[in-house]
Amino acid sequence: MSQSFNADLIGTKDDTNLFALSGIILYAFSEGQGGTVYLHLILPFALVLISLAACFIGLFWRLASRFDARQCTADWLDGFSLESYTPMERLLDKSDVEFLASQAGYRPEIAKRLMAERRRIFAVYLGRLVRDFNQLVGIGKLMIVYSTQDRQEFARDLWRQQVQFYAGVCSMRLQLALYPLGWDGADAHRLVAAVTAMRDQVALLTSPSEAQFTA
Amino acid sequence: MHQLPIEQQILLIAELAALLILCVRLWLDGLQRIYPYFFVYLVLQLVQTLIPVLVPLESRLYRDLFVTSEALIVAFYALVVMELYSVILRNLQGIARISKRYVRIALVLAAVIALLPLRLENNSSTLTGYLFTFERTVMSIFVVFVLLISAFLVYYPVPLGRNVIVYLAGYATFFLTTTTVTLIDNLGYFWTRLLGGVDMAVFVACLILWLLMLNRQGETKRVVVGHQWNPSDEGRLLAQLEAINASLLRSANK
Repeated sequence: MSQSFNADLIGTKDDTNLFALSGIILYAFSEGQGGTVYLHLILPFALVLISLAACFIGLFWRLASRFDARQCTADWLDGFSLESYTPMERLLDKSDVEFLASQAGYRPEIAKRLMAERRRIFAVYLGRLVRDFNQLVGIGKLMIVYSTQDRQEFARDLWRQQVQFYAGVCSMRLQLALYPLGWDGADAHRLVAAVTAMRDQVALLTSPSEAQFTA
Repeated sequence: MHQLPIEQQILLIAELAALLILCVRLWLDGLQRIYPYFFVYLVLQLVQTLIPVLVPLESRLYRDLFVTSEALIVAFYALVVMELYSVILRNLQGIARISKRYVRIALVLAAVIALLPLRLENNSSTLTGYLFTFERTVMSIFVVFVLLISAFLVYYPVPLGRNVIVYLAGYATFFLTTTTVTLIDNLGYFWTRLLGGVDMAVFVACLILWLLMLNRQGETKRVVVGHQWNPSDEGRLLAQLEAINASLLRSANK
């Protein structure tokens, strides 16, 4: 069925008569006529819209499943220590390989297997470090949200720490992946020395928590 | 005498019923006091849905009534979104300045993104043509804005009630669908019957979602933790984070 209407009255597009009901009902008496159709835009717009829909679904999934903040307590903060990551210092140390090479019956395959295993363990430690870091960040965000004063500076510092950390982890993982191709490995001695120094500094900052738990 | 296709007539009846029941439901639960703009928006939508029942579709009066009501409804979309955002962030002093700044940036970004397809749109230089262009632009702003606000709420553990999440999900779905349909039409694809049906169906689905999920109990915020942090804990926390980053940085740079 095709009708033509006074375009000034209704707002037609050539022979197509459009009535919008609540802005969401559009029906035409004749379809596919008139105007310039940008056929080449269908795919890019479809990709954009599918991406938007995927983002929404992901975000609402995260909103509906928030992290368990009951684990984010002052006790956890008090109990957190970087000492548990001290073994990372020796994991990629080549002195063990050099010692093995000096022993009778040594074969290069032994060193290769040893370092592969140690890289795997290093990656596990790195994963735990990421988890603990995220826990710390979660505590920080709770502090900000529930603070009775504006915490813009603290939020900015937190964001900066996050960006630095995730960039560092990406770099570390890349270096671990390139290790078999000849990369010398992380200087874990300096790593733990820096961490130990910072741990001592943190211990000075630590004060007994005066936090009160409320129901 | 023109009339809607049969599937749209069925959807229209479902939409009218859902709108009416939802308005009554919100009133009985007292939610219209918490979300007054959303309630008024639903009433306006109900009135607009009744227009084609009472006024001949091919008349100038129908066009004028539609354009006026549509412009009002689009304005209420903005009020509804800002109302929800205000409810969420009420009494959260810790993120007061952050959230205000974020909203400003989000709005600017949303507007820029929404204006991008403007040159490609192909609407006629009539009242309804201008309205469709305006509507698509405004709805696109809302889509991007709701997306960015949702990302903010995911990043910060703001206490949320179930109602808020349901509202956001409904708004996001409705805005995205309407924007898509209007954009496709504005680009010159006249799949109006199909798109009109899809859009109506999605809107009815959103109404049913709100009808089933919105209630007084959903206003109870999930308080994430009841704990008063000592300001010195912030210093300790930052020190811990800096220690981790320092060690990682040294390790990465060797």
